[in-house]
Amino acid sequence: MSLAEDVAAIRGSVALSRLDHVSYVRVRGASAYDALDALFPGALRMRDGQMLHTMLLTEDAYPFADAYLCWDDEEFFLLAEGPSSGELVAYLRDHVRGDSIDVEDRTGSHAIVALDGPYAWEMLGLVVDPEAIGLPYLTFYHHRDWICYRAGKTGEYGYGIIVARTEVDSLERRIADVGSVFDLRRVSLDALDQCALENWFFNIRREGHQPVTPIELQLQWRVSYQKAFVGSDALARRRREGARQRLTSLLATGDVAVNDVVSLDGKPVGRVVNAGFSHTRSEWMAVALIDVAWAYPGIGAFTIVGRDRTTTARSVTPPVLNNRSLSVSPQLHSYATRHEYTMPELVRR
Amino acid sequence: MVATLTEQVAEREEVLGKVRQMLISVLDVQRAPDEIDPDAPLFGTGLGLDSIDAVEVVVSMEELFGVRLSDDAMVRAEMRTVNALVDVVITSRRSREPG
Amino acid sequence: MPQPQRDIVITGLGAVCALGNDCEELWAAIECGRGGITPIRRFDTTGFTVHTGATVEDWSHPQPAGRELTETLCRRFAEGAAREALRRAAGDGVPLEGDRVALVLGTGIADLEQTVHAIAEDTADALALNGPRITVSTACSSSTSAIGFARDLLTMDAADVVVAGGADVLTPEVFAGFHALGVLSPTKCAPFSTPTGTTLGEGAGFLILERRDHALARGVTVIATLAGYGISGDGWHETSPDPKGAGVERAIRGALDDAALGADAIGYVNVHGSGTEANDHSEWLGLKRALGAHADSVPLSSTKGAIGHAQGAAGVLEAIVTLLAMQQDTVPPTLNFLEPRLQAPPDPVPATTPRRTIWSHALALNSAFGGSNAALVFSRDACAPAARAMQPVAVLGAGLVGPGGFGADAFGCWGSDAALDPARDRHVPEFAIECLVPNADPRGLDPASRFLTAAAALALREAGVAVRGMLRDRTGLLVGQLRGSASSIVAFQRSIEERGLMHLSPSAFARIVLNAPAGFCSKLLSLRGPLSAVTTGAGSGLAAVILAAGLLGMRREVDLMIAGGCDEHEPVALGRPVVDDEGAACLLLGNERGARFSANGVQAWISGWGIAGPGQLECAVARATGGKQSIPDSMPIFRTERSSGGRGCGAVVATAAAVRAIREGTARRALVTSDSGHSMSAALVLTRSEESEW
Repeated sequence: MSLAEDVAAIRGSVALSRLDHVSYVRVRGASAYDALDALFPGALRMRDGQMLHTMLLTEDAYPFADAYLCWDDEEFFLLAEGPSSGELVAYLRDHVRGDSIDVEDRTGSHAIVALDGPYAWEMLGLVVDPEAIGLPYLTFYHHRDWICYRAGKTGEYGYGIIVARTEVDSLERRIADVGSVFDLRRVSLDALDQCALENWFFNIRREGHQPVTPIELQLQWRVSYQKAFVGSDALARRRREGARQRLTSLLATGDVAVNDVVSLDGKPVGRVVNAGFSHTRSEWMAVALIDVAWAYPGIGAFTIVGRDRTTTARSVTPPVLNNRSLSVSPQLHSYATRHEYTMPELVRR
Repeated sequence: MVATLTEQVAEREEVLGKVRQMLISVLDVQRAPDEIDPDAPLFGTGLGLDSIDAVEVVVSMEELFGVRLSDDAMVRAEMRTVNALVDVVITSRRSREPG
Repeated sequence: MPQPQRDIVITGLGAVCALGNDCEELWAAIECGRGGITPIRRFDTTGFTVHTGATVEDWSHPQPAGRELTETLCRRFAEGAAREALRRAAGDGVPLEGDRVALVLGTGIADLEQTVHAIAEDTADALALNGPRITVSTACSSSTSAIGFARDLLTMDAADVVVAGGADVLTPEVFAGFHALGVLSPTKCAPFSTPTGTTLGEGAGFLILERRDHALARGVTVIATLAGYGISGDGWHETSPDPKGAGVERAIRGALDDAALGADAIGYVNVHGSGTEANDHSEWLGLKRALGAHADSVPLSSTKGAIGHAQGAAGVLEAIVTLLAMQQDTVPPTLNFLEPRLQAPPDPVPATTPRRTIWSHALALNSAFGGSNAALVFSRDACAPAARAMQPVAVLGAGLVGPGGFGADAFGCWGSDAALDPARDRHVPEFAIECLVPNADPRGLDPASRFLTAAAALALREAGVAVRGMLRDRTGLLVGQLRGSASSIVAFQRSIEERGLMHLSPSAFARIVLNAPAGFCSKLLSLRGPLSAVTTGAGSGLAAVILAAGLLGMRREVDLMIAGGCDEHEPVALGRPVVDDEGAACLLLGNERGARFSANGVQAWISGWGIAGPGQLECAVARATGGKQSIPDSMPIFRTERSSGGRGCGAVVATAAAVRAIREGTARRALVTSDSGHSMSAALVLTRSEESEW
């Protein structure tokens, strides 16, 4: 039940979490841009103060890490999920020539406190400073010793504050003080993952385990076919051959679990790679790798076969919610007056 | 007339192709059509369109497909991904079919 | 070079806007709280969701339509306002006219058929102002910047009197463009209140500026002092301001430094306050950053609730309202203010009539599409500006992009017949901007922006300068052009023809203003120092170089300036003959602080410059050479008219050739001139070593 309340907080007010699963690594060097360009699959079209939502691949072009690459004046830093920080640093060192870059792992010395929810911006303005309110998506700035960034994988306003571990408790106390009028709730990683599933955010810890490339995962927007990077050869090969499966979003009438087989007309056509009960929609959701011939939204005739249950499912166009954050404007709205205005229905039919 | 699954899929592919072409030629998205994933987000992340592009999308959808997207630019569910635009076109076609 | 004389005063005001055809009518309306936003009658707004504007009505002449609208109305407004200002400044004495009276006009007009600089030229001709005519075109901050540059012309002794301000017209195309961007208020512009959105206006305004000793010698009353100005670039987005307000902050700091005043000295701020969510929020943040705690105790107000957003004329009209209010010991109100928006400033003077407040120094701010911010400081009394020596300015690098590709021969070998052969290909060969600027996103870049950014990147590369860290805030960009991107203007017009006004292309609309390429370039290269775009017809690039050198010589917040020009052909499909090269040329200029960032050292020093009215090249040359009557044979002359390159960048191509001659040792000093057109004559002297006498 607490998962339901966690999700409700993320969807309706403000949720607090500690992102202990995210590594924070700084990268410096005169040729850092070029070195990183050779690692990351996407074109590094970005400027100082911006974050690029990208990923790192294995030589086989399978997911290794889900990362934000951030340009911080004369250096860069990564906020990455998937590998441990030690594995991440090893990956960086293995794939970069010589000592052209200097890698500093700050995961041990720093923590990341996250605020997610339609009114997270308002809380951030009180916790940090009012300047944080206008922070555009995928940008960050320095506030004294903190780094405040706006990202989030729930579909709501989402912010992170990178702070030295020695300060994180006092920061969280400050957040708790401010948070009482926001019905602030501390939430679990499971709740964040559930919201990511509802909003079609790639999860390296779930579907990211699959031996498939960004093409199957519908993440080609994170890659460039015009450059060489770790995994570019394998990716180009897959593109030439043609991917045989595509990640597809499903809504099911009953329980679903990872590895359940997806069938159409009695024939297996795919496999569930991420699943969970959507408390927001009150129904089961899944994301499956389905044969490209049938990997389209709007097909109502799927069957999902588990170990001891079978349910029907329909493919849909994600995201499956009209997030409140899309309707909330910092110029016009406030948590305190949220009942005074009407918003579109949260659940998309 | 209820389309068979094959016809349904074929129609989606056809509309998807046109929406991809619109994104490339009108919105100047620098991608080959097959690189534009059907569920790729359009704004903020994904294909990286911005508020000015949102207006262009609305105008082009009307010109190319005869569909009117509702008024409030980026808030609309109709524009969050490539597939969302495809949905709008297909829904509009259904509503114009007789019977 | 003579030492700058920085005590500049205002001796005349003239205004034409929705509230009246002169300053008296304007102030009478402000004083009784009358607003100028009404339903638009001049053109049909059926089908749009907005129907209001602040148009200049009650004009005795018949109302023209279509293209004539901009051609005639703009000139009428400009001439009307300028006449009033000149009349006031002349007092009982002789009319102010002749070679030593200059005109700096700000406007956002963008058209393919007519060139922007013609408005300033026609206005100056009608008023017998025969000094330099410079047009500043940075959209909504045009006239604010124009007033700032006018100050520089006076401190550098390029004129004795400058008529400075701007003019703009509310056309159906501009209306439709703003409407498409979703930034218009459904009713009336209500800065810091609701509903959000701006209301377009129009009109013209001018200040008469001169040095204090000149005004006193003429025996006229001084209205106020223009104590200082600052300009900056956001380097952020084509139409949205930097949400942190850091660009506004830099412009304010530059203005306060120029005026030698601290933040606490400011007693009133006339904000840009366009009423949009984005502007009002970021502008207030920028003010707080610049003024600190003092920001909460300063009254600030926006005049746009009264006269609408007069675009290129907004800055000067709002400055005039500020000065008129000062004369009555008041501050003007922010009209249409009901409920404050969240994060609104504590005292936006929410009233209908002016509030009695005596202030000594005021800030006037404006921000624009393309990220150009400008700030002016007005003082009631004389202040003693700190004497500042003019710093020497050097050329550190050059970048050329032309039909010959990149580099020294981009426009052919200087002066060669081949370079001037009219039959050769004048198009820039295809290239990807990412090959020069790896992190550049090419999406939405028109050719003019691409050429300019490439030339700027090449200039930085040649100089061995990496714009990183704090240097970003201290490196600016000033561009001279004939007009905005031709392909963008065509795309804009075509979208209207094919889809109608209601569905015109907002991205093309954002790109038709003259300063759009400068805005893109500053964003891609993170140049956040002073940002502006000017036109003087042919030779625009040299105006940019000279103004940039002035900024570097006299200011403390700038170290490097990229000064350049760019030109873009009209699309081949239009079938018009191609007479100019297209391309861009940029010079990296630096003062003593800036030169230290260059790994490759100084290529040449700018030892003198001169600006004069059209057809007065000898005068310009005399000023540039320090009054020497004859030019030695050993000093080669690089004439812009002999240059390939278009009318925007040709003068910079000539300057680059001169710099190369000095660097390669074929000359110890060189003269660059520009004598074409009806706006300005200009001359620049470059020398090998840092010397002022020769």
